[in-house]
Amino acid sequence: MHQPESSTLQPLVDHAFRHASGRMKAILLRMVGPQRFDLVEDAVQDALLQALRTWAIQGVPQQPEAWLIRVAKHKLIDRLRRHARTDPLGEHLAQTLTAARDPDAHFSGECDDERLLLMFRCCGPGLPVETGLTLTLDAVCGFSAAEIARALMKREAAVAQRLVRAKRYLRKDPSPLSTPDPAAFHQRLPRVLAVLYAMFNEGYASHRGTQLLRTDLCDEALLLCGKLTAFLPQKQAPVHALVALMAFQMARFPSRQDEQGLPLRLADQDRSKWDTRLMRLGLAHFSAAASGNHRSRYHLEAEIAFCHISAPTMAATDWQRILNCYDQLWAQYATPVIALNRAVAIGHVQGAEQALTLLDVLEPDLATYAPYHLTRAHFLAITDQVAAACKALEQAQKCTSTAPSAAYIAHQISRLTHLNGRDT
Amino acid sequence: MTKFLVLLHEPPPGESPISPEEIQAVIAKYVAWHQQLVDAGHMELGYKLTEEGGKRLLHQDGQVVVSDGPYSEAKEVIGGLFVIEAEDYEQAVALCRDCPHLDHGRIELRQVEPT
Repeated sequence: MHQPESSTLQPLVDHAFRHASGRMKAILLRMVGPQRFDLVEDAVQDALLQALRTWAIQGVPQQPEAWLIRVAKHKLIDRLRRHARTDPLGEHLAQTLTAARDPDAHFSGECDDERLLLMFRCCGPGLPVETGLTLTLDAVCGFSAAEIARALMKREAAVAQRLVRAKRYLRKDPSPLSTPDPAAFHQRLPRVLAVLYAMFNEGYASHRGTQLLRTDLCDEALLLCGKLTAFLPQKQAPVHALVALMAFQMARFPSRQDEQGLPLRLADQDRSKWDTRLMRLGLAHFSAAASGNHRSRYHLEAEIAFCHISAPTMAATDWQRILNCYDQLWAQYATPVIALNRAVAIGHVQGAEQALTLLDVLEPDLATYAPYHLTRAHFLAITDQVAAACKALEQAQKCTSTAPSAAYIAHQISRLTHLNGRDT
Repeated sequence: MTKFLVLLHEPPPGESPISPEEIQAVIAKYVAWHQQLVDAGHMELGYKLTEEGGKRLLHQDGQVVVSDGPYSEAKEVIGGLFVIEAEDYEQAVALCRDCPHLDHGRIELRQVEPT
């Protein structure tokens, strides 16, 4: 950048630093072992700060990631030497690292394997899914504690504490996981998928946070899950199913909000805005998932998403097929939220009254869940029970914590009362 | 056009908990500002200075004394510099007004004597 001629500066791709951070941690951890996670983290942060100070003035280098990993390696060597008193092996590692060739680092391709290996580490059997998710977002995806706190709607201090405990666990994890070991992967895969599902769900959730869709989380989850399909030693149908589910849901993002950022009901969404590239990606993985006999929850949820994505209009939606899927889901996972979604399908197949009967049963479990009240309000309105519908909407308002949702509900209330010629 | 030295003064770097995403955003701001000046033909070069305090030389009691620069105790250090070309101070100031460095430090602008 000290040359004044036309610069060949390429802009950094979106989230380049975030992803580079995860890759560098994974690469360096493989070189010095997970018990030195703290040193690796600090070295990586040092490298990123160095990039901040240097590139700001001297420009982005031609190979940004190669620059970063080289600097991170040297920072790590420094730290290993400084800790040699308490970590005798550290000096030896420092020498090995000094002699070693700089790790190959590219923006895409091979090195994502490193991130996935690290992810398997972060999703070990000793950690609850939420901790695995927090740790994955930090170590693999490069989110700061503050960013994780915002994304997961938690206090930053709580996230930081959770990370401390999780890293303690990571440091003690004896499993090598340095080469793809089919048995180890098989054991951890369900947890990895659960974490990716949770990550996607957090991004997709429409009833929390100030933004309806935190697409960063969804993007990360889809990216990692997609790479997982290529990475695993054997084809795993549930992984393809999960990719399909995510791709189908994300394909619908462009239509979910109106110009003011308020949520639109599925019936009111403009389907022509749906992302065809993501739909095709989903379909490819949906086909790939159709192998073997067992249909995981991801298969069933992907099929439900497929029913929506393949319907040209709301009226043309195959609600019977959706209901069949929910029946099977309910048989495997009898959770209130699945019951709620199944009630919606029942409403479309058997009528609003049937749905309302089912919904009444769910009240104790879902009283604080805004979508529950919104669903009741919808079916109450269909059956002309306007006053009850408005009450349900008010209940929803009490449960909602996002500005867009609150505005949406207020709009629904006024629409209903206006239609009925009443002002309550 | 005249050359100007743009000296970037800043407090010594501390431990700031900044995320990779935030770092990228800051770099993007700098790169955008820099590119603006390059495109308009004003940017000649930029140097980032290394973090240690450097060396100080002075003549004392009949000899040259060399000491380390007081980096860690200093309230302010020069983090780097640009050399830009502008018609006059007015234009130089205009070019530096939206330099992202001002978000966390101060800029000293000095005109180079024309040869």
